[in-house]
Amino acid sequence: MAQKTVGESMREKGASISKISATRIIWFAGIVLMILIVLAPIFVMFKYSISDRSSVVTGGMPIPLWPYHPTVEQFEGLATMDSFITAAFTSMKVALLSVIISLAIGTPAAYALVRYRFPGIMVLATMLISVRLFPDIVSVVPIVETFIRFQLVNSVLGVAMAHSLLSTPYVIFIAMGVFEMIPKDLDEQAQILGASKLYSFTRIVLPVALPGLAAAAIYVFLLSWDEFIFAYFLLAFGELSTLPVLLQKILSWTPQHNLLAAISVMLSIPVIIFTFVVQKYMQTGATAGAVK
Amino acid sequence: MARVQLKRISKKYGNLEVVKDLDLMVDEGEFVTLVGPSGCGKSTTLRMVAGLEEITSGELYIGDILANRIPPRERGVSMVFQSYALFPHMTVSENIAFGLKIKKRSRGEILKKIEWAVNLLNLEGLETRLPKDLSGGQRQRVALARALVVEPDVLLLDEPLSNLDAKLRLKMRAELKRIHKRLGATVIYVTHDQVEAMSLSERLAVMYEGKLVQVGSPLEVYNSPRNMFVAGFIGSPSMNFFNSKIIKKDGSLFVAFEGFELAIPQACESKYSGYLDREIVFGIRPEHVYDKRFSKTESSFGNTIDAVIDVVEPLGDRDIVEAKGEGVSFTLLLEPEAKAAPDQPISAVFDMEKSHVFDNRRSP
Amino acid sequence: MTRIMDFTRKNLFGIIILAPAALYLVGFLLIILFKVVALALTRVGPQGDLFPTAYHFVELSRNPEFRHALIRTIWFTLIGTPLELVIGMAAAFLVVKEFKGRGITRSLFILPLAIPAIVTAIMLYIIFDFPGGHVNDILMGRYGFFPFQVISHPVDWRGSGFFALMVSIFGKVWRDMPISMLIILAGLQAITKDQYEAAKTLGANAYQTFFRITLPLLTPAMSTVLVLRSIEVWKEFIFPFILAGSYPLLATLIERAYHEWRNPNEACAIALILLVLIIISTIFIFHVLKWLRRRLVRV
Repeated sequence: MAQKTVGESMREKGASISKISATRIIWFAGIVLMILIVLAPIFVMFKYSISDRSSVVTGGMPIPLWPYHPTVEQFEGLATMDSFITAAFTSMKVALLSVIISLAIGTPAAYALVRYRFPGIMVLATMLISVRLFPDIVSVVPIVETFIRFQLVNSVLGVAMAHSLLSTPYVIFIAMGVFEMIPKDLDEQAQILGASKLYSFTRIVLPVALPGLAAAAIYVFLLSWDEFIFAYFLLAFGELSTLPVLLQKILSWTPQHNLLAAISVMLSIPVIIFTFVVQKYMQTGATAGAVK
Repeated sequence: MARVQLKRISKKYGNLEVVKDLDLMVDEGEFVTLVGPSGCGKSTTLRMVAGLEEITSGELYIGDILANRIPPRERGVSMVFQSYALFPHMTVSENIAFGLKIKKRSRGEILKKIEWAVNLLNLEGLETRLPKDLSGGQRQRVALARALVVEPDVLLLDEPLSNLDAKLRLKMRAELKRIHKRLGATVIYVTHDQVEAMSLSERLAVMYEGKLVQVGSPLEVYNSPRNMFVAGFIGSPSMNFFNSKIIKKDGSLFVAFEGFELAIPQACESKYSGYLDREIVFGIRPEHVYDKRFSKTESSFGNTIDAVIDVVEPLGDRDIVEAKGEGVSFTLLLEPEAKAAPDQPISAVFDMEKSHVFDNRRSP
Repeated sequence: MTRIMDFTRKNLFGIIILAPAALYLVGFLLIILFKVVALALTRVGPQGDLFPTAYHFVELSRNPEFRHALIRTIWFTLIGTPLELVIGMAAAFLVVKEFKGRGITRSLFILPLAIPAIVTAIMLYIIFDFPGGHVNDILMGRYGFFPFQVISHPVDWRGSGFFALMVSIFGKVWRDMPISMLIILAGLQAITKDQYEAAKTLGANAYQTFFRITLPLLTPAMSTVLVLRSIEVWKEFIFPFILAGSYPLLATLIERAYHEWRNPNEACAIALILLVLIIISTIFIFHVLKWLRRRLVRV
């Protein structure tokens, strides 16, 4: 051939594919770096929670990367710390109440939105779910002012109601998904056999929807358990605290690092566990929850 | 154009060997098809030539240069994927121009080449459309245009027609043949459809379970299949296979079945003599079994079976007929004039000169 | 009229069970909206309340604290939003290809979302402590594994607006990274392997593939991240509250107005301004991105 083809000239250059390329090294470094950054605060949390005093108050020496004398004294202290126990109970009560309220009003609403096809129902559904787009910090003051009028400040009920406001849209979203998976035939069958709509909803459909609704319940629980803004504004000047509020109070009075860490661990563990359990259910919910 | 040589090419995933010791030479400008059932390793082989899969062992030469370690974009090969893989955010022109833009060709040259490709593949008027607004056949032609416009030394096609409907597939087969004739490109084509392989290629490479079983022209592979797999794979409807034994009676050779024997004519004795007294598989294509009334071969006692028709599949120009007789069932092709119908008696004449004999194992 | 009655009768059950949620959510939304506007436009005085009045807005515009908070918030958003996108993209690109341990790594990357924001904020408070704290200790080279002394005096992370807000941005981006990552990952996985391979055989190197194929096809996902995350960064409260208490943003200023100045009206005025800013910013970003997308695709 008189002239080399493009391919020939390229092949003659004879570049080579090698396994250990620059890209792979950068990629690996990136992964390691990311993992370190992700784990750092979590590691710090656990480390401080088992730190003895000398590992925290070092008097000018660098903070050790691992406590000199790891100890569970902080956790033991929590067991007898009144403010912690009360706060934990309060958090629990608020969370459970939120679950009850938001599931009680959200689940039937979701069922109606899925089973009834009248015009504008989708618009209504979108509206209800987009309530979440409204910024928390903007709604806090008007809500607190309103709650003051009805003496709902400094009360478990008040905080639970606020949390339900935040979580009901999610319950509706999740429950709608669950109900859409349950074939309409089920309720129609029940109704043909003479059951009232209420009966078929409560005795036939709900039991089948239970697993999915359980996931929603866990999600609401965690949302309430973690929530800071509304809890802080509603409980700031009272006796009551939830765990997040307690953390902030301790921080502003006497920030003891290891105590703060210990409480943080207690606050975080249920969340971490449940998040990974719930992750399977939440694949679609994760992106929907992009705007809290 | 370049020739491609695969020398003892193997591909292993862990302990699983997917391509075993493959030797193949594709001459400049030749159209070779890798054909075989799903999972036989043909796509993997093609991807190794493209550089998309690493070659575990063996040597690949493109244009006489060892290409094993050369990355895909420097091999001078171009590939059309089964899914076409058009870039969804680019128009037809932009898709076609992609390879040229990468090579930093001048705008004038790119425009000229796009025009050439559009004309070659009848894509006029579609230049500004996006892939989502194209039909399957149009997308396929754009994928082809994109691959051709970079003037590759070797063109690789991975089942490009399998996503098209039957009629379109036939049309595109003719198109591909025409393009190949015009461009004289070296083409390696992969398909599982043996009809496609037969009609398109200058040579077929039949693969089975990772091994190259037979290479030859379509006629060679059809008339002289090397083993039972190739014989059964090539040709539609498939060859008839019978378990039998070669025996000698009164000085002549016979193929012995359960209840009867087929006489082997003197002219074919050499084909069978080596298998005397052995269990073998006797093969004959449906197109070489005739109805006595229309038979091309004289019917005699030794080559005719009286049977009853079981199932008739009318195709319009011929009927595929399944018949049962003497304890065996077999398929034959009949002219529609025969007016075949189930439960009709038929005398089937076996053209022994076109028969095949195979060892009693399936794999090569 | 009868049509409405018919409709009600047929769907009575549905309407009844839908009502509580609808009333609760929509009701509260309306209450919030009205209350925030009402309070913002009311001036409480010894002789009674004056409504409506722009008094608070005027006062705020004269208040240097407000002006500083406004500017800080704008910077915070300007830096934080793109950062969320970049980090999210980096994480997504790291885990998009198959590799051993990919599942675990991806789960690890989701971890920040599982930690309550208040906990993360407090942990960062501890890590970025002054004069001690891990970060100061590392930067002063006081650990064996990092013997380089980058600074000679510990940094007071809460002592300057710059550092305080930097740490807040770090916390916010750290916590939200999983969401950006998941959105980008979904976008990446929509690009099929075939298309990358076609680009490879057509001669594109990694750089060309990224800019001509990956990036253009990723722009919808990137836009989603930018729009959604910008809203999130505007209204961020917890991190600045814990880590930048002396340098309020608009959100933390609301808290200060409510609790320190004991002025719910002024707090609502700030809240209203923030709300309007979020709306304007979102619409703006949305349209800018749309315009950009049209220009970018013609590569």
